[in-house]
Amino acid sequence: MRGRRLGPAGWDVVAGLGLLVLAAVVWWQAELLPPPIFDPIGSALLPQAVALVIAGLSLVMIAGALGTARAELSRQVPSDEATSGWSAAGRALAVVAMLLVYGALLATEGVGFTVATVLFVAPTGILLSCGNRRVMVASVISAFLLAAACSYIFTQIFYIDLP
Amino acid sequence: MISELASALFYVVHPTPFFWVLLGVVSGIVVGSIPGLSGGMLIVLVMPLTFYMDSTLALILMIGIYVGSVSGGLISATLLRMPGTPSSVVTTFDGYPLARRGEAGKALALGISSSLFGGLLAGVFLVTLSPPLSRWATSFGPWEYFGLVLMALVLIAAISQGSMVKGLVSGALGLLVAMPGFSATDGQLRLTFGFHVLDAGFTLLPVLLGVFVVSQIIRDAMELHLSAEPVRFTQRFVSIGLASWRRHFANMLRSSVIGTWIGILPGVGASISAMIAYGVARSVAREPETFGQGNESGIVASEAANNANVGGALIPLVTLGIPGSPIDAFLLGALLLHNIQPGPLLFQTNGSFVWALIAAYLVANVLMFVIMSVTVRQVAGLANVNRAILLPAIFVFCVIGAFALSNRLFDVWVMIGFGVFGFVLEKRGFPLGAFVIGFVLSQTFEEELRSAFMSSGGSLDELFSRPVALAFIAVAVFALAWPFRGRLLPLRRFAAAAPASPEEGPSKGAPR
Repeated sequence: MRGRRLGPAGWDVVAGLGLLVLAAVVWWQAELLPPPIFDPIGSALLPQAVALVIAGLSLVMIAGALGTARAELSRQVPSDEATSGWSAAGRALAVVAMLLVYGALLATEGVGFTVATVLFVAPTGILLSCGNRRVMVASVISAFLLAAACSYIFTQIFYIDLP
Repeated sequence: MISELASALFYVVHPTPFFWVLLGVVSGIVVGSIPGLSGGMLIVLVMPLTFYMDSTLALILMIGIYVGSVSGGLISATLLRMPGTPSSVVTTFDGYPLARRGEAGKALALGISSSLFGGLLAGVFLVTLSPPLSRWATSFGPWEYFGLVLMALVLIAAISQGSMVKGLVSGALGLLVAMPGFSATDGQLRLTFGFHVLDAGFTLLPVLLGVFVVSQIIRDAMELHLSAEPVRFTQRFVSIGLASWRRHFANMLRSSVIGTWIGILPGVGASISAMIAYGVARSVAREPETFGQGNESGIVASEAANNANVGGALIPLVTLGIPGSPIDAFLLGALLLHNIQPGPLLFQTNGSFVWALIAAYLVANVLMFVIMSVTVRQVAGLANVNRAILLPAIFVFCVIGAFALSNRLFDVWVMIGFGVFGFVLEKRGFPLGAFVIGFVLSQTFEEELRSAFMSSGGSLDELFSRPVALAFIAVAVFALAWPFRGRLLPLRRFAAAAPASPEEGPSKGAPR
């Protein structure tokens, strides 16, 4: 089975377009600011200047990448090459998902830092263990130890509030 | 100068400050030796823990971490072919092959000794140049400061690896991200899109934690499978003899000077100086073809330069308030967190504080040499700590750090968001160092620009009567124009991206 995917130049084009949109939004927001009273340039000038710089550089980036991107898209990529990065990418996505879940748990009334930390550290460690049972067990143990230790040390010794 | 340095050294060797320097160096060496972690990460992580500490002790701790981590990276670079920090990438070229030949002890000893030499030589420049530079900088007005910050932003984009366009975009994004909220100059609320949580803008620590630490966690999770065959190492103590010191003295001296002066350039990190010193050492070597195959001079050049870079980068930080490297941007953030205003007046109004930092730097280098020489075997063992256990724990510390600032879960979300953002930026070849420098310097950049225009009544005429400011701007323009020298380059080449790394070093196939 053959597939196509964006190469580096293709992603540069996407990034450039995204940056153009960002620059346009920033420019628009800065336009809404009132004119300066006390100083000659006001609070809008620098955001607009930076937006212009980003827009200009994005156009350069897009122009530079466009030709190469077309060649990349027209190249047929074998399925193993197309999927070779997916396990690493999948791991990264899973970790990001775990980070978001952790944040959500911390925001949930009644869960608390200790429980949320155990529920984050143990599964994430198991996910990253790549099937190594010793590491899985160590992750679960370290989850409980870390949650308890952080709860005690930061609140009782450093007097730092926890989420 | 000598009496002030002596007083500061006397202070640093007292039990309490000495403890914090020692702790910083040891933790820096450990963290620096673990692939995937870096001194920058640890500095950002300990920042919230230092809220209630004396500011001098806090900065002493962070400088110890800085020195230790740059040297610690040598261990995994030599034994695992994985640079513990980006500045040790070049050390892998010759350190690992030499270790594979059964000479790991010699490779490590050369690296550690060169690190000491580089660090102390840079210390000499730090001591001798800082006071006069600081006095000269007190004559800077807003135009000079604006020019200096502009030069720093352009230099980090121009000199870093990878596409200059992406470096500039990264720096511009850093400037932009610092702008939402109340403008420091006139209190005007801007770029909040109606979200009141953004009225205070994005605070420094969650952004740094996200961009540097969380993005690294995601990256490490992706690269778990990457490893080289480790070299077993059992020696208890490593050192080089007098003959080796003599043989490598010229290289150490040259590389240390290169590292120091590149460190002084605002925004440029240790990996760049290591690369340049390595290149120079190879170009003057009798047998340049042996570089990359275990040539001792390669290790000496890289390690002397990257440690000298630390001292050199401290010079603009303590004298001008401009970070000499991305990690110095974190130190700048730490100064601001502790309500210490960086800039040329720091030396004048808080001289004892600055001398304490300089003394801590010198002591840290000596401690690094001693500790690494006798504990390298134990530290090498730590480099194998499984990241499945380490990474989640680091994130927990990040959450605590981000939350502790203002007790807002919003900061935790900001950190996660910037973690993903930083990961994507770096994956697409946008250097994170430029982003961090832009973010940290954004407020200074705008304040100085607006002050300059206010003092000149909105006219640019005053700029043309300020030669120093013009010189800084000219360097920035020159750095921008340099790629176009001689001929008009096709846009495709100008925008062509080589992979960029977090602290300006290449990272292909090897975690940070």
